[in-house]
Amino acid sequence: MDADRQLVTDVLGHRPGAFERLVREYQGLCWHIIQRMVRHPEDTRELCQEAFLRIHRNLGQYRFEAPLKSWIGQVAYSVARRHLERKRIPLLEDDGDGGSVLEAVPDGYDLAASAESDEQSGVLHAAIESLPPLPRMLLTLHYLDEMPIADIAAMTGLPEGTIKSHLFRSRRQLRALLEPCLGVAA
Amino acid sequence: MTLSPDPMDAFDAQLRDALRTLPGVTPPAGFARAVALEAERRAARTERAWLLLPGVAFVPAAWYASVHYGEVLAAGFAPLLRAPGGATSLDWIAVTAACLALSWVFAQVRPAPQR
Repeated sequence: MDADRQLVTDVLGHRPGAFERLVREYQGLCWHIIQRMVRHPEDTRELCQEAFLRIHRNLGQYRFEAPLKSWIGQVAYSVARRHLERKRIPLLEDDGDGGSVLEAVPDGYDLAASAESDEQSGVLHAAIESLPPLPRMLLTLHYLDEMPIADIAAMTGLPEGTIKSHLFRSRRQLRALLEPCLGVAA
Repeated sequence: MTLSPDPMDAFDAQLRDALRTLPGVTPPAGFARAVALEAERRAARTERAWLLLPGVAFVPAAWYASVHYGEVLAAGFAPLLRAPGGATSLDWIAVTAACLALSWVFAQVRPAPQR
């Protein structure tokens, strides 16, 4: 928290290189949130930049009540969410019983190439890509960024129970997919 | 049934690896630098716009005043204009131009860009 405070003070004081340091520090998180929700490389880059520009503009409003990471995550999530709303892409889709995940793989995803490179991870990649934007992003934050559920809740404004439920269902769905294909023990 | 995700096991490790190796999971090189430069550029532009505002507002305000209140203004300034050594209309034009020039100069003055 002290490091965050110092970083924010440096940025607000126009210290040379401070904002670049902030971007470098949190670009991974921001990128994960936006990329997992939007999935389009160009859109991701633009939206990520937009999120950081918004952070730069409004950093004076940050009151240190939550970790800087959560505050930045909130901005990124809100930018990505608004983008999806504008494009009328639902955050959650009715995925039924989750039995046919591979059928929901998006058109742009190269399933064959992915599966050739490494069958097991290829199938898993395809299955992750097939999840709706919100669960896909929650999985990334929880498993890749190792964020506690409470922090994800603060960032997204969703109740912790809802997040746990999404994680539980996504994980079960992905695991169920791997079992018959690759013989993974459940 | 518990709503918590299952405890970490081999599948979780596999899932983490899959998430890590998904295409496009990391920002491109130089992204932070590009964003920082863009932020500086926009901040400077916003600042310039605010500093130019008084100068920009002055011109239409002066025009409106001269059109609608020309006679009143002339009457009001008449003693000053008639006073020996007083300001002439050319002086007023010079003062207006000086104000605009100062406004432009202030718009150029901004904090040194972050490096």
